[in-house]
Amino acid sequence: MPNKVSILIVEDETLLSQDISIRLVGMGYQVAGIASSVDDAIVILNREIVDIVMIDIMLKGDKDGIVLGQFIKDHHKIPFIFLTAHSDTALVDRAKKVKPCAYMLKPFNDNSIRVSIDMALANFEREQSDDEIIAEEASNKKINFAQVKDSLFLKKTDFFQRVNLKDILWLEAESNYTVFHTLSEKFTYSTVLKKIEKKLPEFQFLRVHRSYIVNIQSVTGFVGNTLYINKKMIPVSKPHHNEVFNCFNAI
Amino acid sequence: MSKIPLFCILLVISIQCSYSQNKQITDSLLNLLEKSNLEIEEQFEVYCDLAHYHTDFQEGLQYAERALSTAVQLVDSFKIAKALEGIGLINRLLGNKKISFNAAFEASNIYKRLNKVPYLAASYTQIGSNYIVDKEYTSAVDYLSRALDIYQNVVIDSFRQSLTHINIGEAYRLAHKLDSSSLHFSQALVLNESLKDDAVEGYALGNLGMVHVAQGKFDQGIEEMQRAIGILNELGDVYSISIYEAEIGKTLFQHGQYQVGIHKVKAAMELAESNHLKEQMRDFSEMLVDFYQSMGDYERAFYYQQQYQVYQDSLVNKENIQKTEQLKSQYEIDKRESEISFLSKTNEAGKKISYALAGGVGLFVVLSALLYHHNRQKQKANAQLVVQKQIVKNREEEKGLLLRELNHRVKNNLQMVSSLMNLQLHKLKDHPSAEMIRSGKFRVEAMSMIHQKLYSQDHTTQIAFKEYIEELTQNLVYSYNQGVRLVLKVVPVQLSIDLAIPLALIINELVTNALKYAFDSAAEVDPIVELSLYSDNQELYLKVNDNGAGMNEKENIDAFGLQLVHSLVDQIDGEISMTNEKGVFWTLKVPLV
Repeated sequence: MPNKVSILIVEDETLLSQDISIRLVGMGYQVAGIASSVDDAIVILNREIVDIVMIDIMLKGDKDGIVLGQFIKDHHKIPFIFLTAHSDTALVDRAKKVKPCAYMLKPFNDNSIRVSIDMALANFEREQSDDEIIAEEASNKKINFAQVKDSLFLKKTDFFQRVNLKDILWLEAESNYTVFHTLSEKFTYSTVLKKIEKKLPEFQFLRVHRSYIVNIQSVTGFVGNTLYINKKMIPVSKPHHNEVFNCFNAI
Repeated sequence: MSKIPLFCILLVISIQCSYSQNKQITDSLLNLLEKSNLEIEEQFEVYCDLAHYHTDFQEGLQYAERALSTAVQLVDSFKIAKALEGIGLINRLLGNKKISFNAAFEASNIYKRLNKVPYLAASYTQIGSNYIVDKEYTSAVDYLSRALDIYQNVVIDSFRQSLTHINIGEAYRLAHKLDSSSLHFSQALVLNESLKDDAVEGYALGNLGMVHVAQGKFDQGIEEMQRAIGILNELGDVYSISIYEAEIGKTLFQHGQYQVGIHKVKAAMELAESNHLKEQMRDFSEMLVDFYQSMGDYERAFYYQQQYQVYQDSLVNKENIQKTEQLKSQYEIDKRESEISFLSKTNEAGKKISYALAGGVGLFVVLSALLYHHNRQKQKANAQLVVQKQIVKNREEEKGLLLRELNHRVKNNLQMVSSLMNLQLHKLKDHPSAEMIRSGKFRVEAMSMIHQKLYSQDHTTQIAFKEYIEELTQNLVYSYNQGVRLVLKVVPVQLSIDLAIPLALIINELVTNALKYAFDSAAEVDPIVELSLYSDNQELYLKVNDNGAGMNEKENIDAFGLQLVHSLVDQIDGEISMTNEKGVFWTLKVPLV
């Protein structure tokens, strides 16, 4: 089941946090919670499933958003976004050191929220990956998907959905497009399969054909040169034959 | 005949030594001075002795003066007096009476002040003797009497008393005060009765004899003089003997004993000749000329006249020599004086130079002080400046802080406004007025974004408008109609906030209009909204067009939005036009001030 990406809002201005919440829900995201302080946020982080955190740098109390950013860096491997009015340079300098995945400037609008989430996932993915991929992707900066923990953030038209790696069944190339087939739905990317293959976790996904990549866990059976994922038949081409069946023999 | 002064002065204090002896002493003293490393006191003594014994008076004087300067150096008044005494003596010998007297007076004054009575008495004696030589007998008696007074009352010294009596007597005798003279000579003889000094006895008797002869007591006088000669013979005083002898001769001659008289005088003359007493030779020969003349023996008279002439000439010569010497010494003195004056002039010049130098140094000091002061002032000013700079800096920082705080609040408040509208919009859902709130929200967001751009660019009042347009239109497209392709042809341009805000609102309305109303159905193929902005430095041109259905006056129009556009165009003195063929085509021209 693809889940909605769950976002924690840390903002002490109630009107703003409510506004952000409405906008995020309107975009197709889920709000994991609204915290008005660092301590509240930490409680929610420990209790709820949180994919992305939006943090206002300026918070009431003795701990500000930067402290929370550092905490997330140290304890939760998830992207976070700093919300700032960009006024105090000293504060911004401190914020930079924590290396947030993105900044969202006040005053914001729907588009700037969307862009900051895109940026956050792209940067997060970049941080997790190695430099080679970044260099290759430099030509095509448009974010396709991002992997956070055991999930992929796949884009549905204009917003992301979180899909657990085990829920991704197979990827199929359709000319210049790549379609992610998950348990519940399909995500179409205007990127060739070859490029996407490089970003997938190797241990779980296997190239079986020029046009197919399968989730090894999802394979339900095989007959001859054909793999079955539920009722879907996926051909295994000769160059991949040995590799594929060695893998299954090992299992 | 009585005009011929025969006198013998007893310079008892200065013991006359022979020339050769003096020479020896001088040489040994010079030797001592050259070779030994003498203490300054010893040097003084040597200088004094040299002054005393030196055969060349001129050089002697120099040593005397050296003695004086040494004494001055030692700050020893007594020694100064001694040196002055020496100077007086030598100057006397050189014939410099005035200098001699001055030195002697000064010396005596010092002795008096120091209460060195014996020295004072000797000094008085010296001065008195000098007055006798100068034939100022009254002064001579005066000073000698002072000496005598000392010897009689203060330092009881019978010997010197008697000698002084003799000197006073001689002074009176020469002054023709014969009674006083004989009194003093007699006093000397009385005193000598206990002293029994041959010299005193001899001189006193001899001179008393001369007095008696002058008083007409010929026999007594002759007898006394002969007794004196007898005594002096033993002492070997040829000078006095010859004088007494001649005096006896003269007296005898005057009393008719011509041959004995002439004989006596001739004997005296021989004595004088053998002892080179030229003065006496001259006087005695003159006597003989007189004798022979009165006897009518002109041949002899002529002979002695010649003799007289010879000695006279020689004496004149001597006098001349003395005078020359005197002149020489005067010249020396003048020379030294001129040297001194030259030195003092040099000194003066030196003083001037040192004054100038002192002045220069003073000026330098003053300038330094001024410079220092100036520097201090400058430092103070600099310190003040630093303080003021710090104050200004602090104020600037405060200002910057306030400005940032203000910007922060402006942005936060604008954010709050748009959030409020968004929250209200959320509540309204499909309420008919929702669309109006929505438009309002976007207008506020358009303005908010201007502020965001404005304050993120170093607090200038200029907006990078190209970036602004990109963000504004992207948000609109994202919010209103994601199917529309946005084509931007915008040149980078910096606009002031006064122009940027109205222009931003105009663009917001025009683009929103296009996005909302231009494309009716989803069936539209490649819907495009195109925005271009360019400038020719005079005017700014904005074009917004779409490839939609065109404006339907009744339906697809936001009346308020268009009204807003026109108002804003007026505000910025722009001109706007619209064509409605194959989509709406807006053209706006704005003058750039």
